[in-house]
Amino acid sequence: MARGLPQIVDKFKGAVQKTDQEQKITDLQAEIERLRTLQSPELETEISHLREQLQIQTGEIAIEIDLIDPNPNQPRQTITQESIQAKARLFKKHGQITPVILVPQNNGRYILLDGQLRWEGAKLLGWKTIRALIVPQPEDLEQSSLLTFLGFEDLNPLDKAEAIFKEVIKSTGFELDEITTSLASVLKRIERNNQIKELTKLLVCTSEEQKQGLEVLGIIGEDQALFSAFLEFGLNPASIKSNLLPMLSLPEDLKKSIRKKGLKGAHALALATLSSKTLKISEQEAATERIKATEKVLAENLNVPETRNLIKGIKARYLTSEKSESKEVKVGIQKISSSLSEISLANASREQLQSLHEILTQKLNEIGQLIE
Amino acid sequence: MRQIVIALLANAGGVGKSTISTHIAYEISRRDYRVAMLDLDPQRSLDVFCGLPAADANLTTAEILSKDFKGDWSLIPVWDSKVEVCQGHPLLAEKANELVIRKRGEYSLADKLNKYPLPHNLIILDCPATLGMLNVNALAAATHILVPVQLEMKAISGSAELVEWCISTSDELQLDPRPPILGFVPSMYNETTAMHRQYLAQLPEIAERLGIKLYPKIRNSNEFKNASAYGLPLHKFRPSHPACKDFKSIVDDVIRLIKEK
Repeated sequence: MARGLPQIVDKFKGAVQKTDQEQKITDLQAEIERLRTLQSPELETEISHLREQLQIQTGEIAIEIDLIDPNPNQPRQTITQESIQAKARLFKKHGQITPVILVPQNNGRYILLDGQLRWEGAKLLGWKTIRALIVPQPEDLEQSSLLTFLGFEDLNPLDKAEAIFKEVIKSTGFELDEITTSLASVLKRIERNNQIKELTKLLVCTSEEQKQGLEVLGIIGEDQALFSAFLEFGLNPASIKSNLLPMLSLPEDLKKSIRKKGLKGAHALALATLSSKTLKISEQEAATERIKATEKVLAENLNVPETRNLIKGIKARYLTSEKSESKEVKVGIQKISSSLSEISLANASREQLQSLHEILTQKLNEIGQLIE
Repeated sequence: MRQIVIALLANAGGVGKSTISTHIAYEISRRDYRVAMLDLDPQRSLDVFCGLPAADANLTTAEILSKDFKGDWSLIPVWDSKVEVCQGHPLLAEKANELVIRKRGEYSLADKLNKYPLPHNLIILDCPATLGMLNVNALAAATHILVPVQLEMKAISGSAELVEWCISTSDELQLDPRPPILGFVPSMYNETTAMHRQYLAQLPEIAERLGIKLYPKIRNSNEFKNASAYGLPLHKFRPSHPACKDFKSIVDDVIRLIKEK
């Protein structure tokens, strides 16, 4: 016989492993049942021991969906129907890959620490249970859930901003406008001194080093408490100021679009420039323009440069319409149409016609540029 | 007597699913049991094996999976026998996508078979060669799984994955009882191919480790192809062909299951 072919046993390794695991679980379950029927005295301890083993087998347990309560301090305010459907689709296709994280309550129910979207998705699919890891009650549920979520890319910037400022207000005792002022004035100074890099470097330092670093940068007293709070969350104060803070002052229509329709932060900030102030129209009219533009951005899935272009066009429309009729041009139009009649043109010399042609071509170009 | 629902599952194409479906269907019907075959393959492979012209979507399994199905089974008798077929349709692929977001989408077929029971002793689900929503439906509706194993590396890898998939999907669907794998069926076996001989020799040990029965091999024969070209099972096309006997062991087992209380 020719040389041996590759063995097929290896291909079945996963299947064998899974079969064995299933068998073990079935055996353990059978053992629990057996002990139950025996009503042996050591029943409870035996059962809890076996349950533990069962849990180790799978690493997590199935919890009834009905027993789960949402986290009242959930930083993620935005659950779009779309994102739930997307999650449900993923569940259908791949099953639940990561377990949700639950904190047991005294009443036998659980609070959701992590996995709101997974929980909603499972509910949509009509699942009875969801795979979960149970963790002990953290000291500060609000802060823990915030920390859990900060790493999540899909927490939208508005929710992120609100959650972060809520937490920072709570931990520092500052008002929002105090935070805004402090951020603005300190950062302005840091920028002027070209020290932004030094500030950014503090992100990866220990709390003690952060404190020293802030002092070196001349950030002391209440400002220091505030900057420390941001650094604690692994957040760069400079990016908070330019990216997250503006989220809080977005007009309501844009906030709603972020929450319900998945509008992105950068797009929202760009669209916010369609304000009554810049367009020189009423709040109402500005909102109408903004909503129209937002709908277009969402419907056509425009990227940021495309969005800015769209906005530029809208602004241009308002700025040009602002220029009312010019008398000189009006007279010019009349003059051209009367003095350049067909007959007068027919009687003009060739040189005259050529220079007229030149002038008109140049004017046409100028007009064209203004109209575009 | 109880109704048996067998899903013929494979994770690779052209490994003999429809050949096995049609031949056990025919042989069991000849032993006086009623058999229904449901073609869940968007490529409607059973049409060829049964010599049927393509059917309109509303007369196929695509209709069964639709929301409005009210128990109006479109079954066509084939081969002058007690076998009836519900044909497949390319729309099945689309239906499968719809099922993804429908409530109890994985259980659509199982729910229909429960609500509008068929009178047949055996239902065979002929499935596409992918592990998508249609196969999830087949798994949820089946009482037993039959896995053809073509003795070539690609097909074998697919079969191994399929075993894992059956376990984890049954788990996710919380099927109770879980449909057991009735057995591996080495298919399209060619004695003159070294690879087939070697891999067939390795299969018993693997099957034993997995606790899965290994059926005798189904040989590869051009007469199977010729028979299917006429839309007939080999038993009708060449009744005396030795390959007709290759299905006996499976057929005996299935009949035993049907007779069980």
